[in-house]
Amino acid sequence: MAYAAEGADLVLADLNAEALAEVQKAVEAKGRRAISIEADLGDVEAIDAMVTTAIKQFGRIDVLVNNAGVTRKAFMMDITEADWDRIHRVNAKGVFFCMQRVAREMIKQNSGRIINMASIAGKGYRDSSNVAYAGSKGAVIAMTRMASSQLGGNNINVNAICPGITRTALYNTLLETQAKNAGLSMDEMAKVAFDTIPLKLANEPEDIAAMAVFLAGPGGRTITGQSYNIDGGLIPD
Amino acid sequence: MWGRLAAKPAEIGPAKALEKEIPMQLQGKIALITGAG
Repeated sequence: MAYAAEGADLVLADLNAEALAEVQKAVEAKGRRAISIEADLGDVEAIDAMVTTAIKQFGRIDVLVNNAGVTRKAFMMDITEADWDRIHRVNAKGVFFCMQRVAREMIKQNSGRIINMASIAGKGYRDSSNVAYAGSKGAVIAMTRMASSQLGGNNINVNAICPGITRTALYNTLLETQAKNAGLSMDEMAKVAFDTIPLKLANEPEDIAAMAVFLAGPGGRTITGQSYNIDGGLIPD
Repeated sequence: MWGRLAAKPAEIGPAKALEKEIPMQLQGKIALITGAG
């Protein structure tokens, strides 16, 4: 929504068609154009189809925000091969192929901004949902750095955002599991979690969106290869 | 009384910038957002 408020037209992709329809409606209510593409973002053919549709509809892609991601709260010793494959399929493989396929178009345009949603999990934050997830986000940070150096000559900036605790639907699901395991209410569990943050503030999704707008806008012109924490001070790196 | 680097009170009026509309940062851009649902 922040992108629409700042004047962008949007190609919205997700596995959840109902949620997409709601977002599209809200974007259009702001007077922006939007299309929705139902896509499995761990599937390269689906990614190809998504990019083809976007180009057919709008003629170019100026900004890619790789925001799709999956996880579940689990102790390291309980992670299965299926968990690993599910998490890395979307969080690492999906991010790579979205970058590669969209960069093909951006190279033709000789311009573009790519913003990958990583996480402070990728920098070793110890209360992350699980170790496999942390590995997938570490991969995003490393891919961001290397892609920025390889695409810089084509005037394409590649950066990552590393959110800390953020009040998203995914986080609330994780918090629910944590609360259940600890025998606490959701509010009690939230207080325990937020008290660990130096600023005692959890992110709202808007905090992350503000950075994503900045990196895609004029202020991000010479910024590339970076991974910015938005975490209230949880990880000082 | 007023040095070269200081502004006289009369010169400090309503900031011109405030009279202008702040341009939208992503005006005219096409953005593809995954996980947008």
